[in-house]
Amino acid sequence: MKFISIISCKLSTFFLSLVGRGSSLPGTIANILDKNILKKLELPKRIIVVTGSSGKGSTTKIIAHVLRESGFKVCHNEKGGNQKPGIITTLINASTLSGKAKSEIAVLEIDERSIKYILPIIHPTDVVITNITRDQPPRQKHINFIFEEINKGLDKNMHLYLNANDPILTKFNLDDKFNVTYYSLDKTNNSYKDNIFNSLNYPRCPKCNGVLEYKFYHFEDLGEYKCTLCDYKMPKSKYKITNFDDLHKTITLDKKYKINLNNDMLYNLFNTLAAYSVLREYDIDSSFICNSINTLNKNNKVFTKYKYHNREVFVLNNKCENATTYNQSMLYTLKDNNMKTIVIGWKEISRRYLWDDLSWLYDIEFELFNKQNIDRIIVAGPQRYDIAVRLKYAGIDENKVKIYKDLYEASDEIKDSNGNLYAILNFDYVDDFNTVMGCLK
Amino acid sequence: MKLNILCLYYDIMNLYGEAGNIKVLEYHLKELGIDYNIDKLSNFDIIDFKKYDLVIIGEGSEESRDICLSHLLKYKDDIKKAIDKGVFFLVTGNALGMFGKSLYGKDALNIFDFDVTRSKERISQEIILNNDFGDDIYGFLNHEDIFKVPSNTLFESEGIKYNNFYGTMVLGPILARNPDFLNYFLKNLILHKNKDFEFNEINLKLNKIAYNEFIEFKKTKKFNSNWS
Repeated sequence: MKFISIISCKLSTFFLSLVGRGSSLPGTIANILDKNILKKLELPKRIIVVTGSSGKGSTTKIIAHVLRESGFKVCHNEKGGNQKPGIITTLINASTLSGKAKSEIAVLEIDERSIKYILPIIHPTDVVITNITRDQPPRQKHINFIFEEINKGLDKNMHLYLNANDPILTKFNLDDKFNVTYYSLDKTNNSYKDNIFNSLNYPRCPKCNGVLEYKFYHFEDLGEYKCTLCDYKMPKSKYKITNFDDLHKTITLDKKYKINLNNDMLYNLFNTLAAYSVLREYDIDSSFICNSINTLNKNNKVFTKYKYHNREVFVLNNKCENATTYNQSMLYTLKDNNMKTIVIGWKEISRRYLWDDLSWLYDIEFELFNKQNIDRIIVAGPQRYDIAVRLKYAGIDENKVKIYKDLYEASDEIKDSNGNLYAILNFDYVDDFNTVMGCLK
Repeated sequence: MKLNILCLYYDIMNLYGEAGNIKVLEYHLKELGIDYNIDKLSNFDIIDFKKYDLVIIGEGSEESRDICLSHLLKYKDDIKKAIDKGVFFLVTGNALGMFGKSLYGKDALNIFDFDVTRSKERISQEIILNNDFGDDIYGFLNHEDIFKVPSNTLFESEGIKYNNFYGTMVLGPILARNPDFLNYFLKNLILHKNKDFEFNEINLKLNKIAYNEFIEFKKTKKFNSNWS
């Protein structure tokens, strides 16, 4: 069955590509024909897995790009799915008809809930866990649950890469069984002393559940911390962003190597640093990595910032049901002391299920708008009134909140508003917004 | 009049927007010109239940709830006394599970007559509940507790109401999304403290529109084949 399974996967991938679809369907077919197909493949010698609540795609993209530029033969599930069928599709298509790997390294983005089913079969050499945050509560429950789910798939032979600034991630190595490479971001101009995200989880010590004390925060739970009850503290990291120049969107790694970012949101700093740490452990030269990432960034144009009649426009991409993404946008607005107009909205809360959960709206720290010079806040989409209620309870003057059915109806209000524009949108509203602003036809 | 409010386990029982309920109460107390004090306490603190007019506890992870329950057990009698005396409790989500006889086989506070077992599948869905306070309750569930509620339910077939103890599994956050229930709860909380208080209408204009719009939205929402 192995051969039939492999050839069906390859053929169905080919036919699906004719209709312009790359998907996990071929892997599903292969898995039905031979349910042990993943075990029977002769996999690449080295496998790098990236998992976590967010940042999987960007991190794997950087790693795969630099490895290829360094001359490695790489397979990467860039178009395939990140659950078991998608992984099977990617691995079969990167192997011969007899199931032997054609690439030297596999770079795989894997869904955090699928880790426990896939890792015990493919035995990756390296595992990056980017973060564990509140994400899609109806599906992902809560962060302790996701932690346990990921933990079930790990074994001590895997080399872990963890963000030392994130206390819950350091919990994976509580009994010191893993070889861990930590990375972290040094204090920046945007770091702050006292917690400003009051609705989220206040992290506890991974060792004794004591309250953690922070020397500084980067964002939410991220920062430099130590326990108030026991000797637990932030682990020492091997790779660091030692400077972040947010005016020029440049980061300095290990005091020496510079990367220009086209996206200076905090999550992108950590994704870039995670990729850099893996690549350094693969003995790739720091300057080479930075040059290669710079080229990738230069060619990857994104509509995150542009001008509209002398006003700066920032289009910030968020994910509904994930307060952390919105909170990063809130943090980003704090950097700008000028007058601002804010646009908030989405088309759909979830594409996965019929339920519409609104609880996560109350995990977003909209209260941070109170400290800012806000001209108005324009809300749009099917839950526009629920957003308006949330803003009311954040203490924002009801007269400043303008409510529209969608972004097209809000068009005049957006254009007539004052100050820099911050569009804090779910990803499904970004194209609509850019169309309204006239930069997408 | 000064209302003393306790947000208990504010830091580890605060999943799913549960911090929203206190924001809502604060807003309307300010609106009504009522003086209030909010204490935020957690499992390392000493609690004097006699001090408070209202105790709020929200949902947390199962691990957090275990920590809280072992802390709360020390105050079992104080809590019972407080409830009997008429102190208001707003207990939402899986925090309610701590108030039964047992929780997943371990001793719980034994204030109400029910045993909680753990569901195999997480119960995660929208919920609409008929009730005596006004319009239907719209909310969200996300927990793993199974128990048979005693006779004194808060809403139709759900939750617990005893004296001024309001317990429900509904998240949402329930107060922000349900203007009738919010109005009822707040009015009773204030009149219990001062029966002569002239409770004027509170500003629920946006809440009411949001409530009705949400119902309309759900009526028209079609099943999309992309959902999986």
